Amino acid sequence: MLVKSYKIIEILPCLVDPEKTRVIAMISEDVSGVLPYINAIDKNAIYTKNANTLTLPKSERLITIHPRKIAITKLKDEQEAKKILDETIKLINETFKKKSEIKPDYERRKRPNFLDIYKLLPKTNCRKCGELTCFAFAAKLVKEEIVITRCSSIFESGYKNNREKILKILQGSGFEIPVDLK
Amino acid sequence: MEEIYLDHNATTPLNNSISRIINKYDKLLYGNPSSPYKIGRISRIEVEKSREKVARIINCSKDEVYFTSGGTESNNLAIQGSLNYLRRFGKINAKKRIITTEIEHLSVLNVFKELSKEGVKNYDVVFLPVDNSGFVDMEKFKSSIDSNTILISIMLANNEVGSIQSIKEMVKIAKSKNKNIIFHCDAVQGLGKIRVDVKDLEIDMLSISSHKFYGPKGVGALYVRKGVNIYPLFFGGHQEKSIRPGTENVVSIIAFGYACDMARENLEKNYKILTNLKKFFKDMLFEKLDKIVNVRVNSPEENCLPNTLNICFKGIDSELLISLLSQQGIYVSSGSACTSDSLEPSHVLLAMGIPENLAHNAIRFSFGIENKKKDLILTVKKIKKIILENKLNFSKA
Repeated sequence: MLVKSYKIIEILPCLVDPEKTRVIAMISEDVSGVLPYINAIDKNAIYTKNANTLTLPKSERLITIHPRKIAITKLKDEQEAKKILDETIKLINETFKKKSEIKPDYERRKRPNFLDIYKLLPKTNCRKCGELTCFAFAAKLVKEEIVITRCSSIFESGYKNNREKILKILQGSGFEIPVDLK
Repeated sequence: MEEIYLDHNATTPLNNSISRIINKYDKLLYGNPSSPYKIGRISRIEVEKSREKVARIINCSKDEVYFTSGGTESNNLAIQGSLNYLRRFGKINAKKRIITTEIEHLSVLNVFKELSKEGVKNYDVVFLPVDNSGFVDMEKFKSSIDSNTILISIMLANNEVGSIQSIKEMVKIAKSKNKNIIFHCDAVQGLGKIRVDVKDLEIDMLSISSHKFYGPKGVGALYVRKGVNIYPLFFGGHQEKSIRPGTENVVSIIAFGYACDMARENLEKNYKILTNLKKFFKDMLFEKLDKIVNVRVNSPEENCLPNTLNICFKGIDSELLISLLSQQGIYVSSGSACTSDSLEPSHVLLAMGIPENLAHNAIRFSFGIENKKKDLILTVKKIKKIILENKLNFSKA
């Protein structure tokens, strides 16, 4: 077992939603070595090698694992915090145990900036994707609430360059891209 | 538990005599300064007296001082107000260049970022880089100014690391290239700690805020040199020459005036106190902590605010250390800001070329005149104890 214990050291109002809280817990051991392994098995994880952090987006909530601390946002109460901390510690310890079976992944998968995507979209607001504007489409796309293939215009021949750029951004961020588009 | 406050760049505690002034006037001066009867006129007189006090500390004339709600509003009014005036009155119609730095306070940086979104048609926005001590590269500054440049906004002193820019020299360079360039300076962090003289700087606009030097929060001012025009952000009454309408925050403005007087009268004395405190603390940090943790100073040795010391305890998570110190009644801040996603390292430290993992180890100590050496001795002791007890220095980060 790598992490033996944790201690909640801070319960703060969550900046995103003041009704909820953000919790910071100190963990007994340095877990930085395990982060690339969790990154390899959880495709939603956002690993930042330079900062040595791994963020796990779970529904609305973000769990960020640092070498010696775990920060969790949008929590109802301390009880919920403890439950999620226990789960996170379990994930760390189990991944640590299976380290030899996993190939570590040091790549950073970060949610792409929707403005970067928006700039590359046709900006015709054609509504074929079901959204009112290309702006709204871009915002949903980066949140993985809509897939790129819903934009039919970008797959027209005139947008080849932009299409390739978008696919590259999405792929680089760990988004699932239909095989025939890769 | 005794509390030790070492975060004076975030805000300062209200000075006791200023607190008494607020209590005294709060009930007394309830009249609206725009009202024609006696109690209104008394409020007006007091507001105008305060304007003189503000003018005196920055060496301008009182009709060049506009009261605002603080630094953020002053910065927004200066930048957006002057650009809006130029557009509104047809002084500019083509795409123009505006220049700032990468280490500005967010109330400047985000205004420029907002303007850069209009980039394609209106503004060509330049964010100047800084060196690893937090100073703007003069050569890059010179070469960034072209004939299309209309506005430059650069802070006097940085809030996170304390670097003081050579504003006077920059104004000279900018004006020699094009005398019509408007030069704004965010002096929020500098005023009260170092001398600020708008005549000497030959600056066009300058932002200041009361709560950074023992005055109340929610009040500040913008200096606008005579001859420089700004278009209001709000519309309403004729207060502040219609540039910033709204009933004056009378009592806070009075207290702000007193804070200016106190800061002006005690500037040299306070500078010495703060410089000594900083040196004492820094020497002690290295002496007591060097064996257990690698200490790196991010603040420049020279041309730095006398009270600001930004430090990296290598490998030690600053948020953890700050939380643990706060449980002991010691208040410091980090170079990081919590955003919706996660803890983002400071844009200032990253701009200075400090690697992301080190930026997460940064702590800013900003001292105040009420701090005592014994407070600092205790702080270093507690830092050492926290690091050792929690084995924070064993992190490999």
